[in-house]
Amino acid sequence: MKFVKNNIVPIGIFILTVIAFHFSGMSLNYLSAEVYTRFIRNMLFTLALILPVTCGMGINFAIIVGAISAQMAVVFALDLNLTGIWVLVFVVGVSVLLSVIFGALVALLLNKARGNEMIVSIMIGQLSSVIYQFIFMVAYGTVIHPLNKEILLERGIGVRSMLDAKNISEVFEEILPFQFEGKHYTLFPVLIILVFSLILFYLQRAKIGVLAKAVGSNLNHANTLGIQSNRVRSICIIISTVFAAMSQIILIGDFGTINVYTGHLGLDTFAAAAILVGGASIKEAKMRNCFVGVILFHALFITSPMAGQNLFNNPSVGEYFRSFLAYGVIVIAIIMNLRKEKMEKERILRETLK
Amino acid sequence: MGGMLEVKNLSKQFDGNYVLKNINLKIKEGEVYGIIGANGSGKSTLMNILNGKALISETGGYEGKILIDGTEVSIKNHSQSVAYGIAMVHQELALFQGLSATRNIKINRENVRRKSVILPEFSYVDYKKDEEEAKKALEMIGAQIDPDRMIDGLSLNQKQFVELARELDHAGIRLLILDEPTSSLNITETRRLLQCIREIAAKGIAVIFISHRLEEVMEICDVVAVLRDGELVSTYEKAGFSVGRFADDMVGREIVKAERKKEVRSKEVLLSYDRIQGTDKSLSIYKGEVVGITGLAGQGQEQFSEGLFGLKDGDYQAVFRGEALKAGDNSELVKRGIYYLSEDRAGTSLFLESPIWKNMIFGTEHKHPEFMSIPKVRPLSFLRKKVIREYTEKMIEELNILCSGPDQKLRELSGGNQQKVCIGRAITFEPELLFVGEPTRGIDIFSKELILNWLLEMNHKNGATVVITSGEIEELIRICDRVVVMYQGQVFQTFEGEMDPEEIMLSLYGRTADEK
Repeated sequence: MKFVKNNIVPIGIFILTVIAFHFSGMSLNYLSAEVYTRFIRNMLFTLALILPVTCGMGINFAIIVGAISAQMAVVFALDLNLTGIWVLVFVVGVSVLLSVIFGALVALLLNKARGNEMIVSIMIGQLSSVIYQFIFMVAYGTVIHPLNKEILLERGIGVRSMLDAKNISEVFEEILPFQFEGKHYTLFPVLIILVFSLILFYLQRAKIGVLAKAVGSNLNHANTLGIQSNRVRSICIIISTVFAAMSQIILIGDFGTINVYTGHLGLDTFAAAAILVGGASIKEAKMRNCFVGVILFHALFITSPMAGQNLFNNPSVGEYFRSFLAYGVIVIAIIMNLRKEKMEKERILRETLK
Repeated sequence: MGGMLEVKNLSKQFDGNYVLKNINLKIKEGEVYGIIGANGSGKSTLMNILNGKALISETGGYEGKILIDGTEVSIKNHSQSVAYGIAMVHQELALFQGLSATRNIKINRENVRRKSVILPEFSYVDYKKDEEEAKKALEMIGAQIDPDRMIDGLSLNQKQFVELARELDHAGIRLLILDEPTSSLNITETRRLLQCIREIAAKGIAVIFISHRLEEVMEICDVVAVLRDGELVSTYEKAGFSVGRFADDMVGREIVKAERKKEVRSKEVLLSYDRIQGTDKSLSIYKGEVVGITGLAGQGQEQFSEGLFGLKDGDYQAVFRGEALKAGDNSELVKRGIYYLSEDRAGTSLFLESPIWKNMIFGTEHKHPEFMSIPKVRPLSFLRKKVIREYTEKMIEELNILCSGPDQKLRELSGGNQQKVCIGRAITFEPELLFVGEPTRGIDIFSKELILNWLLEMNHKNGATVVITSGEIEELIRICDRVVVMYQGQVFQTFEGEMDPEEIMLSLYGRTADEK
């Protein structure tokens, strides 16, 4: 019973998923394949949210900035016409560099917006997205002259909205490939996710994890005790941004194409929904919340439109189901988590009294 | 021969206002140095300077010299202060909820397995070593606390010991500053802490002991310095200690102790608590009386006030004037004229970011139509700022609140002055039944008497029934008609008339005078 109480959000979503799966008429194999694809595309984004939550900054919607760093690195790589394993080395190197720089800038802003980090991070995400789009839409061809004219639009100004990222996806496909239901998949992204999960696990047990927890628990006390809270918060945001950049590389590698102007959008919402579905709150998040959340959220996300369509014999209802899910789930999860937190607080109070 | 720490002509100003003026003091190794003074006398500022608080450097630093072992040092930030071996236990404990005792003790001083080459923050924490050292630190002060336990589940005095252990765990600690360490402890816990401080001093560590409890200061300190309005007015060696002298120096004027004229009490029951904790026992509060409820920590003395107002579980049926009350339905309670000032002033009684006037009148508008421009449309009416300001100014003067005016934010006031604002609001509210939790905790002796006097005044003039939950037995005896002692969640004994402090003391431990 205690287990149910503590995990009320994931269990509730799981039951919904089972119901949606039943009515969708999908095969389990199809669902697994779809969830696998979405798992590798979204997992690192969700993991990127953990450290900012731990240090009390809430959900870092500015992970978009990380995705932008990766998008830029990929466009540069395509511009330079790199091939083979070097593409990956270049893209990873450049995107890490960019995301560290951008992450530091985001941290600078968020440290000035104490207490309102979440809303400010949303705005930073929006703003940086517009700046990024402006660079590739206007600056390319006018100020910046690419070596590879192929990536430009025919009028000579602005990058094409869709670019072929075969150079990268080829590298992905060659490492640990497998077949399922007649389709080709690769285990390489899982390997990357595993490596970064281990890194995150390590960081949480390292000094930064302990300090982040202290800063998140009480910022005033942390300052009183001489913890450099701004530095701790900055490091957490930078790590978060780097994780997001890596996630975007996996996503592009999996797609095989890069959507220059929109490829980085919406991921923050999905990641936030997933981590909340997994039972995290805006105050506390664990890695298992991410893993459980990503799988549950996407399973429901895939099955619910079909279920809606079959139940009401109307395809547009299915689409409605999907949008309802992404945002409805965030709200429901936040409310349920708040209730859980309140109960937990009362329990601690009672135990202290004994 | 210079001392371990020497302070020469130390001054500190905030925007031209000197809050510390030419302080000189010398502290030797192994000495317990008491610093006493009224609220706002500059004690905290002095400690903040020694502790390298950001507040000091952000407001232009300090003037004068600080010498350690005869060499001048400049303390600009907290880590420098730590490097000089200065550690401080804060009055408001600086502990992290959600972290274990070990993590709290070793915070920012974690042992690491191997230093990371990228950033020092990336080094892996040596959990085993941390726990061993935390355990050692706790054992050193005689605290039996499992270092693995979460801070949230510890009692207040256990938390105090964890905080003390954290400060003592600093390598090379030379000077330990204790700011009101006993203010939230009961008698037994205080004994243990004082014993512990003596042991620390015996190891050659200098201790600065700040307290409002003069008896403790007399008992434990070797030297006592008295601060008043930012100046060091006197220093006493052990032979010259006397509560009277301390008190005179602190306030610079005579203190009149509050005392209740015992009156004939009405027998009309105003409020009764029935079936306390499921038993058939009950507690009645009579109309017009001042009643004190006391007990050792955790014996359930708070259940009557905090339980009624929904801050904690209260297992009883409260009946007010023959009608059953619903615990936690505070708007109903307030409607009936029942008011509560919690012991957690900052947490539940005050709006720290709001100005004094707002705190002074909040929720009392229905009793003061003069505060509103169109009283008929009550919730929609504008407030009459001028009337409210005048009223607040009057209250500030009557309650002797040290502030720059009605518009100053509560956060900027010292603890004692915040408490006076609380009392001020209670006066404005004109309650029929007032609950007060620890009204004098952490407050200097002058303000203490002022607050107690106001409580009595409310009782006397407005006929308010006052229920005080407090651990200060001496005060309760002075101002209460009855003192109720709680033990293991139940009313153990009720004293009235001539009360014997010793009997009450025994009663705290669940014993009566007969079985002595």
